[in-house]
This record gives sequence, C-alpha cells and structure tokens, in this order.
Amino acid sequence: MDRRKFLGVGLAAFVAIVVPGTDLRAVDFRTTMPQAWEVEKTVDGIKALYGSGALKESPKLSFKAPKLAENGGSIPITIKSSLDLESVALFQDANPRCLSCVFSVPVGAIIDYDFRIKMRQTAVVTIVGKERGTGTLYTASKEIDVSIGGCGG
Amino acid sequence: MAKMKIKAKEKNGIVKVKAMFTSLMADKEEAIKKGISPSYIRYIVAKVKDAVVYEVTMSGFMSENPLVKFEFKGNKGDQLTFTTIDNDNKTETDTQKIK
Amino acid sequence: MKIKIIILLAIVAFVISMPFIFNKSVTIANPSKLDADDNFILYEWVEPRTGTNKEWDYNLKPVQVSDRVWCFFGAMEMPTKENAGDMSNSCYIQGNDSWIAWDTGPSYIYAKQAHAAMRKIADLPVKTVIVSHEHDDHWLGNNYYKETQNATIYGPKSVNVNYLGFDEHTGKPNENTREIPPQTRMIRALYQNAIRGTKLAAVDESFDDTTELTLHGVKMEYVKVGYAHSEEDWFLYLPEDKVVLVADVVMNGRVTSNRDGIVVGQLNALKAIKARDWNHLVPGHGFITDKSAADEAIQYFTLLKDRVLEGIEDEIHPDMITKHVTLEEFRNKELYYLLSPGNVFRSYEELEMYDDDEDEAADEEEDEDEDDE
Repeated sequence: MDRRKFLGVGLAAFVAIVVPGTDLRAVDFRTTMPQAWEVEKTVDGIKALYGSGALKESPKLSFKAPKLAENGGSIPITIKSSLDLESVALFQDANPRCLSCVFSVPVGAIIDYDFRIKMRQTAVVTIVGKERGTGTLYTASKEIDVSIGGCGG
Repeated sequence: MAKMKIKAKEKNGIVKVKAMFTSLMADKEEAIKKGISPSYIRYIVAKVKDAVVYEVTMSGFMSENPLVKFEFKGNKGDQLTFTTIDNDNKTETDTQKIK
Repeated sequence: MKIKIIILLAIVAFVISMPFIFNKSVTIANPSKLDADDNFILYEWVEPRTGTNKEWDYNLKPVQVSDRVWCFFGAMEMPTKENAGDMSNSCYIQGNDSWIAWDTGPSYIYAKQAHAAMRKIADLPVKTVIVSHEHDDHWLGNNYYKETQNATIYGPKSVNVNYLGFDEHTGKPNENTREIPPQTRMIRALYQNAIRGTKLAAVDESFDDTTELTLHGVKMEYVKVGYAHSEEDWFLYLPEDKVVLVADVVMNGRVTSNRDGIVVGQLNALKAIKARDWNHLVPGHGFITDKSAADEAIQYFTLLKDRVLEGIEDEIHPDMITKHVTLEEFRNKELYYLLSPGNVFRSYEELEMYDDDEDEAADEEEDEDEDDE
C-alpha cells in the first residue's frame, strides 16, 4: 500500500512538474477555471468561463445533435467551425452542472469534434467558442429531447 | 483491459482519429446512486511529436467509455500519443502509429 | 352533386379505417417516467401494502420439451400489470430426488404456482436453482425456493453485485451494500397480489468459468458466455438429453433488447450454442424450441452488425443510423418498434471501434476484474 501511494504521489508530482515544461501548449481548464465546473445554469456558466462578452451567432460555427435522443446516456454531438477559435465549450441545462466539456484548440487545428454527452432530461444545449486574438464569443444552441434513457441501465 | 483504444488513418494529409477510453464517467450524483466514488476522465490530450493536436477538459456528464473523433493535419507513420487524467489524478497514456 | 357525396363518403371511410391500417405502434403511457434505476416503466409503482386479495392466478401449464425437461412459456410482451410479469420462459429438469429449476420467473407467487404444477407431474422438491443472467424477469421467484425448501441457488456473480449491492471483488456484502435492495422494474410494474412476498434472493454460488456439474443425477454443462445480452450470461447444456436452455441469448418471435449487451458478445454466444449437439433449444422468450430456434437471433445480430458497420464505413452520423438501418426483416416481430431502434443505436457505439481481427476482444473489453488502486 505504502509503496503504491508513494509511486502515485511521485507520478503526480512528475506529471505536474514535467508536463507543463514539455508541452508546447497545454491548457487544462479544470486547473485554470475550477469555478466554471460547479455552476448550475448555462447562463452563469458561460459568464464564469468566458466573461460577460456579447454572444454572436455565426454560420461558421455549428453543431450537429439529434432532436430526439435515442439514449440519454449517450447523445452524439459534432461541433464544426471554420473560425479560428482558441476554445469551444459545451453547456447544457439538463444536468446539475452545466459545463460538459471544453476543447482547447491548437493553432491551425481543424475544428471537427465528435463526442457523446449524457443528459438526464430534455434541455437546451449551447456551445460557445472564443475566437483567438479578438476574444469574440460565438454561440449556437439547440434543444435536445430526452424522453427515454438516462445514465446507464 | 485496455484503458484506451486509438485508431488513426491519414488520407490526403488529413489524419482522422477515433479514440475510445475506458471510464464509467460517473459524476457525483451518478456515483452516489451507484454506491461508488465519482470516477471519470477529466482531461484528454493528444500529441504528435510534442505538439498538441487535440485537447479537451470534461465533466463526468459525458457518455460512459467516451468515444471521441477529430481530425488534424498530419503524416502517415507519425506516432500519436494520448494522455488522460481522471478525477483522482490518475494518468494513462498510449500511443498508436498513424496508418 | 353525386360526385361530392362519393368523395365525402370515401373520406369518412378512410378516417374510420385509419386506426386499423395505421395501428402499428405501441403506446407508452408516460415515456419520461423513470424508475429508481433510470429504466423506463410502462406503469406507475404503487406503495406496497400487504393485502388479503386472492393471489394472482398465473394459470401456468408446463410444456414438455424432452423426456425430463418441462418449460413454462411466457407472453411476448414487456412486463405489465396485465401479464403480471409472465413474459419469460423458465424450465424444470427432473432429477432423481429433485426438480432442478432453470430461471424462476418474475415473482414468488409465480414460482409457487410453477412448483405446484410440476408437483403434479412428479412430487419432488426443488433443491437446486440455476440462474441464467441478472435481468429480473428471470429470477425473482428464487426466494420462494430459498424460503420454503432451502434450495441452493447457482448463478452469475453479477446478480449479487448489481441487484444486492455486493462487492464485485469479494462477492460479499461490503459497507456500501444497500440496506434495502432497489425496487427493480418488475417489482414496480406488477399488481400487489402478484408481487407480494417477492424478495431479492442472493445467489449462493457462482463460477468463474464454464463448469460441468452433475446434480441430482443430471449431467449438465453450465456454460459462460460472458458479456452478450447482459453483463454476464450463462446457458445450460444437457448433453444426455440433447437439450440446451439458453435464456435471453436467444429469443424468437420477438426482437430482443440489447440495451445491456453487446453485439459481438451475442454473436459469440450464438456460436457457442451452435457448437453443441442438441435437438431442443429453449429460448428466454419465444415459443420455438426445435433445431431452428436460434436462427432468428443469428440472423438479427448478423444483419445488425453488418449493416451498422456499413453505415459506419459510409460515415453516417450516429443519430441517423436508426433511419438508415431498419432491419425490415424483423418489422413484423413483437416489440420491434419498441426495441429495435435502440439496439441499432447502441450497436453503432459498440462497433465504431470494431476491427475485423478483434472478435475475441469482446470478452476482454468488459471484464469485471479491474486493477485499480
């Protein structure tokens, strides 16, 4: 037990010290913005993560999501954008906390992300992207209907 | 049991990646209901030659055994390395050659 | 004028016939109602109260499948108040000094009446119960045999871990084990006079792998197929009787629910069943027991896998997959509309990472032995 713990602590320390040094760019939003992860409502979550800037809609930021989720425990989402965003976040008002995930986008990367989220009930899903350099916030949102399913069976 | 599975294929200079990670993705509430402690991957980063090509921070409200897909400009033969950190700060890492 | 009347009559006739020509779907009373385990239920749960009403009469009539195997066949429906959970199949094997029960149905009262019916054929107790998998429509009769006859219950560990909260490493209760077991969907769905007396009984003994047993003079092979229809599936092969009791790994006449299982695992399980020599197969749900009994299941999962893999190759977005892969061949089977789209959707997730040379990965993928800490 002791040796394991020591190794665990050692590894964590190693990661904490070495990783920031070797990465060219690594942004862990949990360590940089811990409070954003505890917020309940999307409206407040966006403020906590990105501040109170105006949210613009743009055809260059879109996301695909089912209108009616087949399984609330696994809802496929695709985020696409041709804007030069430095980060993109997904919020929903279906769970006790609104922030589901945040992508930090490497310079010159293709923004075409596929992933799956969990939602306990029907709610609006909002994505917000922050443009590199200008800091402009772009947004898109959709309502996803969750009538059957949940977190596992 | 594999902690993650990575598939990366390059075509016309664009590498399409599919990766699946083993995790219950149980946030606080779900963990309480199941009688376990919260267990979810909170951070995933993918690198090629030390350059970050994909990076995401997550809550537990992602589906179990999260499967992510993305693309980036890359070359066949390069090594794609994924590192994940879970809510207990445990790290896993794995590498796959881009086909 | 006449034409107008004819048109009007035609419209009226069409409207009147609409319920008959369009009536293909199952109505779910309250689709967003979830039970404590986040399973959707068709009916409300009522607070339990002991009553003195007449016990539900399941009207059970055993059907002889082979010389010493009899089975009860349930309706091809979801558990409802009207069927009192009688929607699964269970069997009784005649041993020297005891009946061996394979799955025990949805309630204490069901098991009690089943045993009474079997006693008319041979007046023997039930000293051994074998459980196929953890779904509650198959083993809620266990506590009847435990309480009245102190039967030994063999079954998968997952029953105790998932329903009684036992520790998954030791197979015994630990400090997280719930005081009051969860209300399973069966308990919530049934009328009081059907579910009365039912308690969740723990499995006494589990095996790690396929085991050969001879109990009460009957030679059996208890085969583990693992993660197939549910987290841990087993089937029973009787080599001397040439009978195989497979439970939910095979269903016929209706579409299965693969919500808790994996397609690759199901196909492997079906292979294991086909590899044995038998004349009769008793499915978990369905009435066909001859040599063709497993054919529907094999066809369903093969088509499902092939067509979904095709869809993934064609880069169809996951939420469009259910429109793309409709498995028309099964449209006329029971529960198709309720269950098949969910199976298709779920298999997309599963097959996204599928590699042709990784068929065995199915067993490794979802192993209970985790090496954390």
